[in-house]
Amino acid sequence: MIFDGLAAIMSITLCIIALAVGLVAYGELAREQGRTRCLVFLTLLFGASLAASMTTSLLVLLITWEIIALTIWQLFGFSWQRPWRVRSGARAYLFLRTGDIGLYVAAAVGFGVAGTFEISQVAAELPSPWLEVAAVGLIVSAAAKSAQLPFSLWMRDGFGDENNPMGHVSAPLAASLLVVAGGYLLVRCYEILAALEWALPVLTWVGVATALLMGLVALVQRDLRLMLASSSASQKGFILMAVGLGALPGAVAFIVAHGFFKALLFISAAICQQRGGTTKLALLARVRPQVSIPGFGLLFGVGALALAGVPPLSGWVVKDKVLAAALDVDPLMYGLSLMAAIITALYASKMAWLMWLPPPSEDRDVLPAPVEEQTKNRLSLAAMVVLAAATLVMSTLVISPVHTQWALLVGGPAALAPPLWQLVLMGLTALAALFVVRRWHGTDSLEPWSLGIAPRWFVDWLERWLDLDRLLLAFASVGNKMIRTLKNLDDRSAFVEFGRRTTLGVSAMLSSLDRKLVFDLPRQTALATLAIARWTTKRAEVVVESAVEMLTRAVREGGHNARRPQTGLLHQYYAQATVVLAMLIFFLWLTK
Amino acid sequence: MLTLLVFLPLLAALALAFLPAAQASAFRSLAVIVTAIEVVLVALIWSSFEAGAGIQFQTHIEWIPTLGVAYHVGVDGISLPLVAMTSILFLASAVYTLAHEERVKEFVLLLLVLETTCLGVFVALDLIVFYLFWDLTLIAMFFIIALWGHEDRRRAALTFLIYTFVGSLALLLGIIGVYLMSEPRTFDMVALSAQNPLAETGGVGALILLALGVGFAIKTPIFPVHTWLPPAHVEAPAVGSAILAGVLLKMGTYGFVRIAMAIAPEQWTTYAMAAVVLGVFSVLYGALVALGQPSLKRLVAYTSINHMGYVVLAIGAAAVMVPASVDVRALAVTGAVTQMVAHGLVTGLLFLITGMVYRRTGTYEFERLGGLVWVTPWLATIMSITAIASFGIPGFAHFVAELQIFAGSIATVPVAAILAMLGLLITAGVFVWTIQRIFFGPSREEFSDVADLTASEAIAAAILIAAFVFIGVYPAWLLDVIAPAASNVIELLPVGGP
Repeated sequence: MIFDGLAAIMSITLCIIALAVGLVAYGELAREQGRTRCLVFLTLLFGASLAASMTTSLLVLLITWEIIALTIWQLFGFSWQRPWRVRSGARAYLFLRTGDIGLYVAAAVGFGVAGTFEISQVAAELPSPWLEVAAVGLIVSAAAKSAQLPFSLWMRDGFGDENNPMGHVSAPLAASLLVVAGGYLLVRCYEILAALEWALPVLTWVGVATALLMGLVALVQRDLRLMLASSSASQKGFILMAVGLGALPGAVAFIVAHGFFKALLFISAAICQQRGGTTKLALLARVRPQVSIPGFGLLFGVGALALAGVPPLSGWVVKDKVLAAALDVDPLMYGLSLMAAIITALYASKMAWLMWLPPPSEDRDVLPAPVEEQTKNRLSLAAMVVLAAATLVMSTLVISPVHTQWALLVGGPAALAPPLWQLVLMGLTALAALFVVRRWHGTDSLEPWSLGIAPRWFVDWLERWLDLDRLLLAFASVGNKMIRTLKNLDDRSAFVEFGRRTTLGVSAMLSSLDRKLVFDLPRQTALATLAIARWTTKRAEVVVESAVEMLTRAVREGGHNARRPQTGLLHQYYAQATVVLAMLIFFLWLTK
Repeated sequence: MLTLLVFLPLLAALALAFLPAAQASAFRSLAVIVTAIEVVLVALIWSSFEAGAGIQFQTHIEWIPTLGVAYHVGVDGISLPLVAMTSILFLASAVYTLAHEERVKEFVLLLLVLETTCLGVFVALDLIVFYLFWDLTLIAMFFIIALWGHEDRRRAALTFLIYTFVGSLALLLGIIGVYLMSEPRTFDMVALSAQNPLAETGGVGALILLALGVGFAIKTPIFPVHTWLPPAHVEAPAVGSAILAGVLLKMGTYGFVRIAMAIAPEQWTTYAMAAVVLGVFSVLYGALVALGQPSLKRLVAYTSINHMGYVVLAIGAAAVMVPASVDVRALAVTGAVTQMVAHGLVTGLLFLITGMVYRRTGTYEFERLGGLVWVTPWLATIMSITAIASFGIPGFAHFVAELQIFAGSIATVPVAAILAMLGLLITAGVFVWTIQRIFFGPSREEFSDVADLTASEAIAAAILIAAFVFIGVYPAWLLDVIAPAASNVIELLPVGGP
């Protein structure tokens, strides 16, 4: 456990978010909605994340991440009455556990080979092939935990989709805390990755790809929570990119700023869900009056605009830092990340406008606002205000001296001063996106983004989260039952289903093999023994018995014969003695 | 002291034999009292045990001097934790038995006799005494399965007895082989390990190790000689399963460390890779087959194969002939011993829990289970705690053990260690799915009047949970005892190290 600049920043961030999450969980949930259980696991998640933020030991990272994963299992699968929810919780858990295995590899290699769990020592002392193994473990782990491609699927699992009932608000609340933790792991392990030539570029490209594709996915989601979930994966892509480019202060600034405004948005979604009963984007405008928290729309807007990167909010500042780092390395990378930023601005504007604008004409008669307890409102309002304020505070990073101080606090390679034109370009882009989206919305269509701009199949593909499940399926079953695979592609959870089926199939096969073959072997041996015994009784026994009989008969006859020399006649005894004597002499002569 | 510890349950059983069988409750409470005294005795021994000072509390009495057989017992850092685990598991089993209905007297007597024989195996320092306790354990367990088991108990008990008895014979063969190679001839483990009787014996030594190895492997059990385990577990009563998995399986791995490694170090080093391969195979095979099981008890039985696979992997990896430091090797052995203790406590409880589920629902089949959390939230809670402990979550004993096993074996056998880590992922899936299938989902009509934990069940579970949580949270207390003894074992091996 250590408490350096990075730990300070991360722990303060986590504490603020946890405070807000705690207030909302306490205020919004009724006792019979599992409030206690939800708070218990949120606290556990908070505690583990906090511990993770204050360590430079792979062991502590492993332990805390195992606990984080466990709480996610509980919080994503919170409603145990619904088998579907429980299954998605378990699925998310297995994704996270995959990441834990990566961390396990890194920790075991660190201690087994270098004799230490300390990250800096591991980076310095681990000899060549082992360092690569550890780095692969860390990259897999970070990618899985940050929901990067191809592991992004689990972010969806907590939130349901239109075919399935909504989850408990525990999922968005957990996600608020979780968004901070993932990228942080990378910042801490930067030293190990930086010791290798190829590790950082891999990270960068995974990050760019995720930022772009998951951004597009977010753009076409129809549910606020799903939009936020895919957005989180996409934004974490920026973090991976920043770490990969070595811009640690920028990465940390991004983690913190994103943590605040994304928590604000997740909490808003949780409140909408709890009070309005839905988070469908199309219905947001109708839900807003039902929320009845003063300034809810405005506070939500702060979060959404910050995400969009509208100046002067924090999203604009931190995204600029990351893009500046990209500009410094590779124009192509810069172009792609700029695109990702524009996409972010588009979907963030979309959620903002859908929240603000009045509902389409036919729905004008708004449902009356339900009477809410004042304390509930105050708690949730306080939570949102805290996060909005934190978002505004993070915006001050645009001021150069503040940023210098920040970079000193974080440590790591010297921060780049982003060129001014880039800052302006970013801001203008975000504003333009906001404007464009407003215009589109004016067409009175609730999903303008899918009309005419991109082909239908592409939008559908994005809406299904890139068919990640199917993509993985394709990887897993290269050349194996291709036809069946294609048929199964219809199922949205084809990959997981396939993995399960295959494993079950193999298990069932092994288990039947186990029962039939391996178990039968000894049994057959036993049966064979019995058969031999029976055969022996029937056949061999007769032979043996007759042999024994013959022996007894021979002995008996021998006895009879032995009596015959005893004739009682003396001369015959003498003759016998002579013969015996002669034979004795003969044998003595032979053996001499 | 040790002798008292070992024979107290036997004496108690002899004394209790004269009580009338009608007083069932007296037997139950006396069983708890005796096993509790055992735990106290172990605690006393532990408190005056000096870590790193070799074998302690020795008693040495000549028994058959012409053959060099002696009643020689003692404990060191490897056997003491197993003795402690055994005594705790027997206490929990005795508490659990408080709710036992049929033929209580006989059951209690057998349980106490079994405790004597189990403890005897771990403290014996003479091969003949070891073998004696080893076989008596089989017989006691045979009766427990055959008399208190489920429908197909006779067959399962017979399979168990014959299969493991074949292992015993192989073991006996190995023991005689060791005896014949020793000079002066002795069965004393301490003397033998100092003598290294199999040094430079070539093929003969290898055959003797093979005989010993087959004996231990059947007991552990390692793939492919594990098939006696699932039927024995499925048919055994809950307490029988708990002891079988918790204590009897440890005898195999304990034998590997105490006899195969310490008395035949040269051969063990030569063939360590076989242990590594079989260990990894057992890990993955056990986990995969567990995933495919339709019945809760069979599933838990197969996870035992998975868990014991880690132990075999570790003790193999510790001896593989590649450059690695002594510390890393000792770490693997420490991890292996910790894993034995952890598995005893965790899987012991898992089997008691399967008994609790069976008592309430009359089935082990997943198809007929579900939604139990509506009526038995506490049962679901202890099952969840035990399950996450079983798949190695930090804060529980298995994590401590498995981390050491991986850190200790990744330097010597990296591919095997990484493959074995995948086992962690599969077992996580196994248990998450198990909890889901038994407890979650809509409530079921047929279980509507099922009651939650009884006091005795709750106490039995609490004892074991406390033990494995304590090891998970504060492992130093246990590791300080094991680590020096593990180093001693490693020093016997002819492997170099910086």
